[in-house]
Amino acid sequence: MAYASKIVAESLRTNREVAFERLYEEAFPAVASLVHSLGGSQLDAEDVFQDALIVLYEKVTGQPEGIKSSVNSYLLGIVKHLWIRKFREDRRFISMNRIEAGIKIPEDFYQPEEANVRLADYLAMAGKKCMTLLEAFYYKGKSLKEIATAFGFSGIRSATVQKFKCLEKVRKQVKDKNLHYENVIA
Amino acid sequence: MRTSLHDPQIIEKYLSGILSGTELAAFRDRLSTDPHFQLQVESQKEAYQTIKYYGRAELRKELKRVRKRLFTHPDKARFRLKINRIFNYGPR
Repeated sequence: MAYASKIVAESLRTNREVAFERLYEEAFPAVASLVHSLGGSQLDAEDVFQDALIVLYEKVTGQPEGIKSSVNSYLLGIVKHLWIRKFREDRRFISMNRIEAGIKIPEDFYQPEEANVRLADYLAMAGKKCMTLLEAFYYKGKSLKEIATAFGFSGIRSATVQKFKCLEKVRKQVKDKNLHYENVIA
Repeated sequence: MRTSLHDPQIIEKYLSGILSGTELAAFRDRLSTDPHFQLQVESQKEAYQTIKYYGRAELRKELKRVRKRLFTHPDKARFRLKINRIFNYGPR
């Protein structure tokens, strides 16, 4: 991973709102130009860029190998893929280099309708504190040590116990409600 | 780890692909003979997916705030001008 990408990855992990604002200022103009050239509006550009930031975030927090190009060009690549998917555009009309062509968008990114559980339902599943804890570990990629500090647990061991208790709460709710997702991740 | 949390923990290991050797063999054995355990593994997978969707929903809220700030805050006027130019005068 390029040095600059490492810095961005680290800032996304530690202070993501600030990191996102910077990425917006630095990478959005190029995305706006691309979308404009493809016939899209500013609103289209903002929407697709927002999705691209989410894809990028999941890549840098979830994958140890990170990304293999500069963050800005990587974001542009993600946008191209999202654009093709969204508007069913023929991919021959959007040129991609080798790195861009190799970018994978998560299969579950376009959620099936029934998976769009409202936030209130998520919270009802296990309570705000549990959902925030589970989000911190599984989505934001925080360590158990960081979680112990942030949530006031005595140590890694008690953070681990709490994490699994919360996971069990969600699991039981999922089982009872019989929610069904098509693409299940590990 | 308390006994009641042993199963979720080993299921997590299995789903992350880090179980191996005799542990993995024992897990698979139980999976093929215990329907209740099968169900538990399935629902735990779905729990992870739910957490992911929750994480995304929270992230979308945060990105909306960032977006709003960039497109309304006086400090960001230059950024907006740049974007405006692209859509109003930029080449197609």
